[in-house]
Formats: sequence, C-alpha cells, structure tokens
Amino acid sequence: MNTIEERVRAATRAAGDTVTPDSVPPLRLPAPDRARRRRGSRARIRARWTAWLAPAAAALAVVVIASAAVNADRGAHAPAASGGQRQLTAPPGGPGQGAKALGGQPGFTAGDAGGLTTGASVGPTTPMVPGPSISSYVSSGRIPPYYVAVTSNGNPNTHPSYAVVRDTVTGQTHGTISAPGAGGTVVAVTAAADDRTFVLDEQKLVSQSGNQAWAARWFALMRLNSAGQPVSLQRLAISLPYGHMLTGLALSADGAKLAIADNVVTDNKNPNLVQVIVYTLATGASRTWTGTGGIGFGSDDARSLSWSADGRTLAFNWLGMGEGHWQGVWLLNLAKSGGNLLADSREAVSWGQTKPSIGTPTPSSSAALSSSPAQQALLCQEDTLLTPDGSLIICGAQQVLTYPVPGSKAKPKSNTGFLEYSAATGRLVRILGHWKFDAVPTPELLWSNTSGTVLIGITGAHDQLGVISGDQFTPLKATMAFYPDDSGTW
Amino acid sequence: METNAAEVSQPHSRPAPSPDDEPARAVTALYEAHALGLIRLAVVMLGDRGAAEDVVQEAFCGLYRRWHVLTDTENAHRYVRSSVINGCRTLLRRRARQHGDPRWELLEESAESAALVSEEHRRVLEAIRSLPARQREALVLRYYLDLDEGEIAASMRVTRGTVKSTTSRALAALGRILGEA
Repeated sequence: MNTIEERVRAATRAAGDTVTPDSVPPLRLPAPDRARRRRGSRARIRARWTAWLAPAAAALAVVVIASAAVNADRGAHAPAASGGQRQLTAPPGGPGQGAKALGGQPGFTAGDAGGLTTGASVGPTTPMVPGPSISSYVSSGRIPPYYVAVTSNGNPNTHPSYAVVRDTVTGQTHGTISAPGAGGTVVAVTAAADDRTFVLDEQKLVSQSGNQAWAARWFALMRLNSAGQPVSLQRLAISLPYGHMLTGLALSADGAKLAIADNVVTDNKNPNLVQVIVYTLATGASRTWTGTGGIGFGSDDARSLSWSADGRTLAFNWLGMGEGHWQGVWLLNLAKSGGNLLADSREAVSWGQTKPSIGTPTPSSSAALSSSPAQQALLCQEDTLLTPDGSLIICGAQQVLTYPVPGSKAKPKSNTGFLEYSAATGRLVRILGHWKFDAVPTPELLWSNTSGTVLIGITGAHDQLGVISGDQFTPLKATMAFYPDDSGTW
Repeated sequence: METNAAEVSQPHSRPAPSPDDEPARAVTALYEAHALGLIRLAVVMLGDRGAAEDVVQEAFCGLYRRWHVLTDTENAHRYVRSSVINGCRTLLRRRARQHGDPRWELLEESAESAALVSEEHRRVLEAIRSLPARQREALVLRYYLDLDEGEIAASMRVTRGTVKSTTSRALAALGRILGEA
C-alpha cells in the first residue's frame, strides 16, 4: 500500500463518515398503484415489440420487418408510419469520409509518454471562432448529413435502448429502430463511410441479477436511403455467446467487414485474452488475431477500433499487460496472415510506460509528470481515432491550468484541444480547437473527415457537441444521451 | 472505526408498509440494512448529500418497481448498489452536459460536509473529483468499497485489465496533482 492509496482510502472514508447513522432519511416508496401502472406500461412496450418485429433470418437474408419497427417519420412529432409490412431492399451507397472514433479510455496521458509522443508544447491557445453553419458543412459534403444515436425511454438498465437516425443539420428524427428481437436492446452502433450503412450491436435486456456486459450479442445491418430513412434491417450471422465482453466494434469504410474486439471474461485462466475478429459480412467468414491485454475502455465501446478507408489497416487502443510501452494506439496490418495480434501490428503512438498493477504506477520521467498541474501539457483523454486516409491519430486533450484552493470559490481553468499525431512517426503534427475555458471539460472525439481537418466532437465549458475546424466551432443541434453514452455515430 | 460502506445496518423510522405488500416489506428491509452505506457511497462519488440521497431513493424505488420480475432476490443488494453507481454516473454526466464541469459545482454545494473533513482529506477528495469520471469511479470502488477487480469490472462493465489500467492511471494522476509523483 503506497501513500497515495492510503490517502485515497482515508479521504473517501472521511467523506462517507460525514453521513451519520441517525441522519438517514426514511424510504419513500411509490404508491403500489403507481408501480403497477409502470409495470403495465412496460408490458405493453414489450408486447408491441413482439408484434412488430419478425424473428431473425439467416445470414444476410433480407428480413421483413413491420414498418412500425423502422418508424420512418419526418420529424420528431410526426405520426408513426402506418402498419403493414414491406420488403426492405438494400439502399444505394456512396462515397464518404467518415471515420469512427476509437477509444473510450479516460486519462490517455500524452504527457506521460516516454518515447514516441509527449505532451509537447503546442503554443498559446487561440480564441474560439464561430464556424460556418452546419447546413453549409453538410451541403458542401464536409460532414455527413445523418447520424445514429442510441437512446432509451428511461433508465437503460431497465428500459430497452434503441437506435435513432437524426438529421445532422436540424437534429430531427428520421427513424427509430428497435432491436430485432423480443426483449432486445440496442447497445452500440458503428457506421460505414457512406453514412447510409450501420451495424447495430444488440442484446437482450438482462435482469438485475445478470451482467448486461456479459450477455450474448447479435448484430444487425441497417441501411438508410438517400433521404436518411431506415429502409432495411438485416440480422447478421455474427454473434457472441454469454461470457464475452465486446470492447470494440467498427464497420469498415465500405461496409463489407465488421471488426470486433472480444474479451472472454469468463475464462479465468486467461482473463486478459483479447481477440480481434474481422468478419466478412457477405460470407460470414472471419479471421482472428489474439493477444494478452486490453482494447477499448468498456463494453460495447464503438470507438475503440477504427479502419483506414482502404480497409488495409485497423487501429486499436492497446493496454498491454507487460512491461514497456503498454498504452497506445496500434495499427493491425490486415494483409498479414498470422493470428498474433501484436506481431501483425505496429505501435503507432505510445502513451508511456506504466507497470500494470493496481497501486504501483511507475510513471515515466517526462516533464509533464514531474511538473505541477498548472504546467502540465495537454493530455489525451478518452477518444482517439485513425483518420480514414491512415495518416493521423487524433485525440481530445485537456490541460488543467488552475486547481482552486480547497474551500475557495475559485473556478478552475483549463486548455483543451484535439491533438493530431502522425501515424507514421508518432509525432504531434497539428492541434485543432486549442481553446481556454474557465472550466475543465473533457473533449471527446466522435468523427473525423478523411484528413483530420474537420472533426465532430464534444468540447467547450458546457461540453457542447459540434464541428471543429481549425479554431472554428459550430454547435450541432443534437440531443445527447447521457446513458447509454452515445452522442452520435456518423 | 472502518466500516464497509455498503454493509452498514441502520434502523430508522419509516412509514409501515401495507401488510399485503410483500415487495414493500422486502425493499424496506433492504433499505434499512444498506441505506447508510449506499448514501455514503453516493456522497463520496458526488460530493453532494442531497443528490446522494436522491440517487439512493431512486435506486430503491426502481428495485421496488421491478421486484416482481426479480429472478434472484438474494442478490438484490448488489442490484441496488449497481443502480446507485449508475445513478451517480448519470447525474455527473447530466450536470456536466448542462452546467459545464460538475466537479466544482458539487464542491461548492457540499461546503457543510466539507467542514467535517480535514483539509488533507478535502484536498485528496478534490483531486479525486477532478479526475475523469471513470477513473474516479474505479478509485471509489477499489478503495472505498474494497471491491476486488472482478467486482469492479462487473460493476463498471469493463474488463479486469481495464480496471487495472484505469486505477493505475488514476493513482498516477493523483500523484501528480498532489505532488507525490
């Protein structure tokens, strides 16, 4: 037990002990009739799904689903589509620039780097400048016109989540898509580059005694038409049984392949065994690479893997379990035939050496670590991605400038930015959105164009979703879900 | 005296449940057994006593509403603990989205509680609350609730390896903030 651990334990105990036994308020249960009404409502919802949704078909078979399940409307308040069934067909595709963020790892500390990267000085911040309108971004093809979010009518622990297709410009809903199965819940979504092809990660909502993260998963291919309305939903012949935690998923730019990162959590002999599996959707064929470590932050992390547009490279966040550079972004060469994940990959960016055991951090000797908080460099936070052209690795970063004195009313100050590292050299080559705030926001990266010059992410003192280009920021009209935590997939 | 936050029993006054309302009796009994520990847990997570009580109340109400579909009532206390953790996480994210960074707002609101802990503890707590939410959560589960890696992984829905790395990075960050690096 080191000093920091002792201090954490003592401080949290002291905070907890401020709640005295005699100060616990009485329980205020809802009236039984209210509880029964909720149960009835829930039962009706489940029954409605059962009626709407057809059972899963074979691999890539086009399924017939009730039109109400793919509830295409033209606005959040428009009436649902009429009943009846229709045969859904594949929509047209088109070139795009989208990339999916990978990451989900808090505290990615670029400044911890001992080797390839450091929290290098990036110069002074610049004022945030209003950018072009979202409509001009979309009309010029600089950002995709539609995105898919995962949301829920209530607590997603007890209410199924579903996917929502929204208009990037207006934020209006184009359609809602429930999981194609009774009791199903959509937990994540990943997009191809055409902004029309998406894969939904679905599970059955488990009871309170189960672990949702370990539950079996299925995947469904969803396509939008040119108007952004969902027109087909196909259950894929890809599934993970109980006991597998999906820590990453990414659809390739052409929508032909799905990559997943899988941790077999019930394998006590190999608790850190990670599999990267790449499926060919048309045939169901798969290739598997294995390693010992971790990919992504949590379950159903749709931002922990990202593809280059040519489909030759798959980037993944890597948490190594051995000594050495154990946190970083690695690039898997899909032309390699072997099944060894790290042997077929190269480390593109590293975030330092840390001995991977609780309580014994051995940080590097970089200046960022030894400096005071006010002198720390910008540190990568949760999200990183490989740009579609394969040239850059981007992360949202934070630099805390001021910590208030305990008990004071002072506000903190911080710098934020989106750091762009060369995938070839690991060097910092550019920073976007380098702004200063009287707050400590956590920038999150959701999408990048081909070359990393236009980003969609969350930044600002109030964690606002918007488009970042240079020092310009344009807010998006988006209703972000807090939990499930999916602000949008483009 | 050190106590496990989620296991402290505490009798208290409450309206008596209806004799024919078995779920109410069961949930109330669970509340009596675990409310103190769970409120303490939420206070550590949020730094706000009122919000902590609300999160715990909502967790027990949720348990009550779902009691009829519980398949394993023996583990109901684990369910409600997860609900409290999820509730804290959701509240922090909501406040972050609506009001900017939540950590400092909560510190201001918790001045009365802050007066009850030493300056050293306040300094450490502020440092913990300045961490990214997942790092803070991992630290609280590990060092306040004394959960093992597997339990933390299940609670946070992450892998055990991620628990290790997250905790390790959180401790390293605390070291920097507190000047122990």
